[in-house]
Amino acid sequence: MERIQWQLARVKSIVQETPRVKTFTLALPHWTPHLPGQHYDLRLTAEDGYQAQRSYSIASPPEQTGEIDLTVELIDDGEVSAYLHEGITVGDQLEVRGPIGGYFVWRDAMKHEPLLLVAGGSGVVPLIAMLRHRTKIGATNPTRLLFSVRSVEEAIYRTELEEMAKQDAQFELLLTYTREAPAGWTGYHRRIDRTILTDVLNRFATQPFSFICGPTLLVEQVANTLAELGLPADTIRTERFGPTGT
Amino acid sequence: MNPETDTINEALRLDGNAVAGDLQMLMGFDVTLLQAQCRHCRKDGVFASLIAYVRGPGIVLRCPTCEGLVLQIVKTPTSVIVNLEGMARSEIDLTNR
Repeated sequence: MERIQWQLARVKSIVQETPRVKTFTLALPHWTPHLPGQHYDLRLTAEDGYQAQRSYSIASPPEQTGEIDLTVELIDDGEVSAYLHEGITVGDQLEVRGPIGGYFVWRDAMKHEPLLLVAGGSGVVPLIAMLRHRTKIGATNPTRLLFSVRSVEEAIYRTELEEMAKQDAQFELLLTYTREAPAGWTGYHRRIDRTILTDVLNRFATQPFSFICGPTLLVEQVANTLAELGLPADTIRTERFGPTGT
Repeated sequence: MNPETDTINEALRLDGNAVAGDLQMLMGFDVTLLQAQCRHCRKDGVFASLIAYVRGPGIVLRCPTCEGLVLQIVKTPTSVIVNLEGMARSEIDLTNR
């Protein structure tokens, strides 16, 4: 593992994913290949020297070289996310360091194991990096994404995920809407609970390795329930995003 | 105890992943896969699963089992102070998985 240093990235493009979520593509002078699931730290420095720092998961796969996509949700009272959403335009520079973390990562050695991904809201960001990389390397392991969102409008990467599910018979997208479901929706329409998780686990022929990411309370509840349902604790990996909303 | 404050604290807590950048810069290796033993309850666990409170003046990491204090990090303008008192033992697997 290399020593990491702060570097100045240039904002190459900005995409509005949902009303409260933007993806920033950053060109890095010192890009190093990352593992899907890793994050970068981003640091803002005010003129008076005050600094604020946050961690943002990488959405792009390592095959996208020289740059990284960071997908950022606008958090109420979030000093860093508000600045990124309202104060940053293409061409601006941002101070980042990474890639960071070797725990919440999907490694190529796992490509034959069944995979369960569970996301709440913007918790889908590190998981899309895993899915994009999994597609790039042509893995055929049974994979399911259980994705909890408030409404259709707030489902980040929805079009891409639906397309992925159409193209890949081994990948299943399971959405649950916690508020407004689209007209005619016959899928899950509530917060993730024990019944949903039992149902999802039953779709696997053998026990999956799992990654759970999203708001802290969702992550802890899902991890505890999966352990109660018999998944070994060392096959459940978690990353808490704090008070982000679903 | 104030139930409302408790809920806010619960929602705000992060985990060891969130402080990995600071520690990697300090120590030169990724700490998230470090196996650590809590000095209070003697439970073993991976560093990434420690509970992290990062919104205070310093960073506080607690044991997910007994909530005992495992590690504190305070940054000053000229130094970083790390208190590892709550970690009984730690081990890093060099095979990297």
